[in-house]
Amino acid sequence: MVEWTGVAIGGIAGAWMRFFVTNRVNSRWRGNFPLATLFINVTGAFLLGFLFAATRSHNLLDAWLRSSIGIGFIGAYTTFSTFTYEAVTLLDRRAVKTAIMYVLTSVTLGLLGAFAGARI
Amino acid sequence: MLTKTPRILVEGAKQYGMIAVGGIVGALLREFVEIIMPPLQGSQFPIATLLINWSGSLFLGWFYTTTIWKWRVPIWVRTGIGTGIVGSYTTFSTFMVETNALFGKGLTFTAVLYVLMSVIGGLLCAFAGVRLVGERREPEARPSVAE
Repeated sequence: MVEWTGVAIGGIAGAWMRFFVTNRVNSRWRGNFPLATLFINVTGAFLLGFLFAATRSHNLLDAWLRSSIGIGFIGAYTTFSTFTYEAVTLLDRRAVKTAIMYVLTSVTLGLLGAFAGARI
Repeated sequence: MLTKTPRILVEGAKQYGMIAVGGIVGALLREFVEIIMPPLQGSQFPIATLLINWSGSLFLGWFYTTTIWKWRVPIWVRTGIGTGIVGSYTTFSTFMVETNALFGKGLTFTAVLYVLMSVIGGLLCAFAGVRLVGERREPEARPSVAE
């Protein structure tokens, strides 16, 4: 029950954070490229990589941090559905190069972020 | 005094409120699916995250498209469901951390398969969701519905 509550509270904070960052970035960035989601997903992958490497699942406090911050907050902060929707929208608008670049940079930088987070 | 509250503040509060509710629903739904579907035995393939990201992509593709072309809804419904529920339900960070862990364990084949299935499958799901809406009418032909 404590775990579910943590995930729920983390979910609120993560969703708010994503909405806030998206609005902030989009108020300045006028380009076609979905910079906001890329930034969110890469920073989230880094943070989750770090959190999971820094905590152990058999320690009670660590397990709670993992679910409320890792699954709740960072899980809700990053998003896969917006990523695929944006890529498909770019393809729909014939911005094929931008779409391919978006998908490749998201996956490559995301993996590098998760790897770097786990290493520090 | 309250009647003087700027409309933009009211709209903003409504959006943040709906996103909070959506964030709870989406995060709990993902936690639930992850618990009932542990990684596959042997290959350790993270089946739960894959299915979450596929289903979320399909739904968001359909929902965002249909609320533009077919079914006019207030902006806070769109953000509450799209940004709130579906955005929190699907996850990019877990996908990346799981892939990194698979590479770390030397399960290179599973890791590569997981990335390809997530990305290509996710894009196909989003595309299918968009196509589910069917014929798109020009904006001028849209019925005007008050927000």
